[in-house]
Amino acid sequence: MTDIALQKTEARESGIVRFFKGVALLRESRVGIAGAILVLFWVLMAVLADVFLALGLLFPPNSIFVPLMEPLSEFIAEPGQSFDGLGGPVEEVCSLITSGANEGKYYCGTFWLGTDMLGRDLWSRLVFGAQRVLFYAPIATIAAYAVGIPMGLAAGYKRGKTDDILSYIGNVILAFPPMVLFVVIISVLGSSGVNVILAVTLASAPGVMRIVRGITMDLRNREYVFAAETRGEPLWRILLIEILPNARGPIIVDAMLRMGYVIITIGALGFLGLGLPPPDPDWGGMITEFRAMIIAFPYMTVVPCIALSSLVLGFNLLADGLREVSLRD
Amino acid sequence: MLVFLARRTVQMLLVMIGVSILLFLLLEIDIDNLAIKVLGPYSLPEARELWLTENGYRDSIVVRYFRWVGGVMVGDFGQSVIYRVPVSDVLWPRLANTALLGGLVLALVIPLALFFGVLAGMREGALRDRVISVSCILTTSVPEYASAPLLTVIFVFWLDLLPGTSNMVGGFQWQAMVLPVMVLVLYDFGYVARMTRASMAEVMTTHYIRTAVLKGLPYRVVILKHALRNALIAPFTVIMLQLNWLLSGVIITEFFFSYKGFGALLLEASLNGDIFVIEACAIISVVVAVGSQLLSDLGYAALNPRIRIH
Amino acid sequence: MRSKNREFGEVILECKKLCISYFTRAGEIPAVIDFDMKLHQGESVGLVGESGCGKSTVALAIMQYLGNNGGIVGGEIVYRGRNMSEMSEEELRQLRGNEIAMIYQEPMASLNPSMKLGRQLMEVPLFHEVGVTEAEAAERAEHVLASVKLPDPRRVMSSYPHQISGGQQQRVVIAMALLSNPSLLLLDEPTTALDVTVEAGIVDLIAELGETFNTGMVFISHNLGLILETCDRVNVMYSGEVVEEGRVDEVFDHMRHPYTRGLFGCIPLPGADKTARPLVPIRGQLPLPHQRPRGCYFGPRCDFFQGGRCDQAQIPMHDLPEQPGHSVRCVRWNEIDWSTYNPEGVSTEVIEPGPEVLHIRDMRKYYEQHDNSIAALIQGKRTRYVKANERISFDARESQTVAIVGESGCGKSTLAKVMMGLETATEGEIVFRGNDVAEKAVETRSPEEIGSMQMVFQNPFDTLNPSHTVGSQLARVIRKFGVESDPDKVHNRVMELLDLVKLPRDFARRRPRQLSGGQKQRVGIARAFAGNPSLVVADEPVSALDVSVAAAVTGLLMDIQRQYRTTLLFISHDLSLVRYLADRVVVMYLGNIVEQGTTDEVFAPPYHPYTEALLSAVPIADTSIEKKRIILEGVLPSVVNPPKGCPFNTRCPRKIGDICETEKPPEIEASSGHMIACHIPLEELEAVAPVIVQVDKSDETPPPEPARENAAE
Repeated sequence: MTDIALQKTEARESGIVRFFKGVALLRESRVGIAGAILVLFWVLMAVLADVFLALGLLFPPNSIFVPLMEPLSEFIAEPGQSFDGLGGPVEEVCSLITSGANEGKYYCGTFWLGTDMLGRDLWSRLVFGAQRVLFYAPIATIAAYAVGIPMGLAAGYKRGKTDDILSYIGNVILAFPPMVLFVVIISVLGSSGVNVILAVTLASAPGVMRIVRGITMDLRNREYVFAAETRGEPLWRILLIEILPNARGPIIVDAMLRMGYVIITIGALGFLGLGLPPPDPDWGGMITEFRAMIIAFPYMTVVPCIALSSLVLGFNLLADGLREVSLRD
Repeated sequence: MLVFLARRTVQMLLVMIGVSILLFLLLEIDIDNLAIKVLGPYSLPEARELWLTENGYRDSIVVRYFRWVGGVMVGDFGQSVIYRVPVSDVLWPRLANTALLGGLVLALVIPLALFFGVLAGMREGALRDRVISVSCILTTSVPEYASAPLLTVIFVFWLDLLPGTSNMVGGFQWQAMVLPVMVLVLYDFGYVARMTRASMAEVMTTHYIRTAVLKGLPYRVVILKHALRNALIAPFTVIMLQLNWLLSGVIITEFFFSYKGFGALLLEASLNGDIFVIEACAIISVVVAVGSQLLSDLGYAALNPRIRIH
Repeated sequence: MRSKNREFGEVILECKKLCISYFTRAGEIPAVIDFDMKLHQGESVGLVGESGCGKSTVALAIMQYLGNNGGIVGGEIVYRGRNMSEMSEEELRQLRGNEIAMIYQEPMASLNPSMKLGRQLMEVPLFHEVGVTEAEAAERAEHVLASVKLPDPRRVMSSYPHQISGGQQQRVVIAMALLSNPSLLLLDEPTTALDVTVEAGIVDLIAELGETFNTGMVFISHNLGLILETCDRVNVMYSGEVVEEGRVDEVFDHMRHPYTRGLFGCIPLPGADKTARPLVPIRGQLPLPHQRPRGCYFGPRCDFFQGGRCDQAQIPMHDLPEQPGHSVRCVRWNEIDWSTYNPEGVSTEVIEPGPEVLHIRDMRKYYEQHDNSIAALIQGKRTRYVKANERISFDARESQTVAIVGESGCGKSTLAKVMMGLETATEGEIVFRGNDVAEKAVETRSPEEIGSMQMVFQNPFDTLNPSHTVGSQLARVIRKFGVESDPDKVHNRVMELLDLVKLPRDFARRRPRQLSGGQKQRVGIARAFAGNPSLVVADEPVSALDVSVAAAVTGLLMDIQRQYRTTLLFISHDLSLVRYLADRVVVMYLGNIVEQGTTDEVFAPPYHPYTEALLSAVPIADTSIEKKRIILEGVLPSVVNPPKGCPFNTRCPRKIGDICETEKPPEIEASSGHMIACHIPLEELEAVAPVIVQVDKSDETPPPEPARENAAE
């Protein structure tokens, strides 16, 4: 065996090292990096939102300040004014302006993206909106996989009756245009965070099942599965230990795509007024809230549009990059 | 091929039965709630009970289901609570409007997506492919409710070319169709194009394309006669399944532009608890979606000789 | 073998110092290095070597079709005096398919699935000749289909590829190549994907057409026997280089390169006496392209390696003065004394078999197939039976090797499945160590029972789960069969198993993708022997491996079997290999056993007509062998609708009449334990001459011929 020495170096790798090596492969796809940066940006914002709030870098999302401030305008307060969410009287928390036209007034920060009709800071609402969507979307996606993977494994491996029944259930659900299904479910259950997750899970699980079923049907004919069968392994072991780990590549790629779509869905429900209840910021809700004023104040609507699209784009690019990398060698 | 189609038709009928049962259970199992929705929250319990008995809601659920399905089959969906007219009177004109919108969108999406998809897939990894692919990812990342405001700002606010709403109160205006169609095309185009690209790229690596090239055929002939037909088999099934997504987008787009279509109707009904309208819209949308699948099967069979000639 | 003293025309193709590389993320990977070749009109040159030696790359380079990441980095390819690299795209197009045509390995994949075959054929004249009408093109296509001996060309013209069999598809591809009457034909493993009896027909056809059309041919194959049957000259390639080149008879009889010698040592020859000429594996494995050693690429595997000489500069080709045109890439070409070289071969020692372990009687396996077509509904024939196994009966004893031989669709894999309990028999008994397991599915067998009957699989690339380490996969088997349960003992047992299959203990921590095909197959053997089995079913365990590696794996399997006195059921399509390792042979056709007996009995008359055809179809890489040519006509019938009477009657060259079509043949006992299922009387079968005959060549070995006409050019 001439290659023993050569292969020795790569023989000893723990699972963690291999995972990071896999992530590192992504650097070979420019598209993938762009996606990762976009996603990471919003994830960081969402995670650190409360820290920023404590540091005074963000305003509380539901506090009402000055309505209709254009983007990049400064928050100038008259002495004696007080605002909920500023944490105290203007004199204490803001800095006194000592020269210029606003001399004697107080500078309390900048509305980077302006304020909405009600006078809430858009940038802060955007960041807390990210927090909200990045809480609900992963839960809904994971829930869809938790339901879809076992169904797909069972249908793809057992075939026959099991497959017929599971596929039939899937087909019935997939026969609905997704938004119709959401509208029907939400109008029966009412709109709440849990119901949004439920609806998304119900609508996405059949799609997950189809993908997992396809991969399983391919993998079940591999000889290592055959070997496991000939040594009488129990069903769960064949499905979870022999088949599932080898399906992880396409599943991860699909999960990224699906995450993007779930974000779109949650946004759409918010947009249609069927989603998460106000007043907490929700991107879809923000888009629809002031769209009647779109001609007069376009930024109020456009800003959340761009935010949502950029996060979805991030996941889509990430999926594309991962697929590109996984198809190599 | 006949056998294949017959089998698919039976499968689709089964799916339709499943859908109708699911819908019925979702919306009509709680009849007390139904009575409240129909008669209003302030109606007297006696009035509700009377209404329920008169309309046969105290019968067994199986009887009610078959009565309902029977009605649906002959186009009787019941009375709209809000409009106070038979559901079908509201439904059909709305559906016609939506068909116009959807038809225009498909008429644009299919040729555009196939053209750019084939162009990108012809030489995988080339600059042209990368530009098209990334553009497609970009457009599919902007959902209808985000692109609609953006386009409105551009075409209505800046350029002042098009009307911002499409309710057409003063009769049909073609300008009012432009934005809704554009919004839907943008979102739907990318997915079909990417599918076509993937399929084309895969076909280009097959051995029979190598055979065709090494037979000495001109590149044009290799693409048009050998690659194209095989590459279109996969996207064809996608295009028709796409109708499902299109219908989803239609709800949002119609809502945004106040277009008097059937998506907007469904949404109104849902927000106002107009159960019979919801039922009718859901059933109709599923019929359209499932019917389109049958069409896609026909096309699939026509393109693929393995199905056509078993 | 092709007639020896044919005269050839002018040089049509010449490769001069050709170097081809692929460019990957890891950098430039040389695929072909310093390749020289001259091909004359009407001549046939073979390129032979194991996978990754660059032989297919040469063909694609001649076609100037190396893809986006491949390119010619040195030397040139000259076609009729013109450097092909300098031709324009349009000039190349005119050559391709017109003057230079190619035949491919996978006929099914090479034909457009959604275009009628007639149209695919007609394209050739339509796009290469001016003024050809559709009707003329169609007529020519039909004509050429007839000349490749396809029955009913008109029907083939209007068929799609999936409607005809693999052998017929390959004939269509050949017809397509011949349509423009090319002067150069490139054949890239044209029969590798086909069954051996089908292969024989295609090889015959190619040889015949080459002579009729006087086409120059480059024949690429890993099979030395095929090269002998089809070629005038041969280039033996190893890891991107030609290591030996010359006339076929010179290279086959007087090889000088240690690799060529090694390659011949690895191939089983059905005619040879297995004790006099044992299989000799080459140690080690092919170097990966980016890990080639300095100097001679074969150095690390060579018994004659000399440090300081073989591992220095690149080795040039040396011409052999006594045989013009025969050259070899070895620095020690004239100093090795082959007469004293006696490497240790695979042991062929015969062991006394023990008591009977396996007893199969009248086993049947039918699969039900539901036909949902309307026609079936009307006729009421909803269920059809696939008769995968029909009345199988044979026995096997302890430490005996029983080979089950047959082509695709003969039911050998179904038999394995039933034995392992993945399927249950429809009828009959399978008595294993005293218990009938015919209807015992694997779930109902005890771990001990399961462990005592295990399997080695065919495909090294998916026999191991890519997600788990080698060690954990072996440990799982040990625990599952209850051999050991204490973690330390399990670990020790894993190490013992790796030792057993001669793999370093370090491999326990590796993942399958870090192993080569041969190494994976060794792990597969270790896994099968983990539960101390008394019976191992090996389903084509080496058919996917390169010959040099296959010989080593075969040897290992036999050694372990002897050591443990295990019964081995060796399923194979390769009669030559079977001859080396089996004690008994069972020949199957379409789910039926047609002949069984000891190895010597099956390989000598009386034969079943199918065995006879099978034997004659195996290409043999030995110039001293002469064999009968029996080409089977027709296509393999479907198991859904097998022929009545004798299953072989539709293709049998010795069919005696209606009885073959109406009655199941009786089992004739030729001698004790040698059964033949045939209607032909035993005396007649005994009178048949042996298929393979060793001819004594000692008096006719030709002295090196004087320079032939073509060599002067």
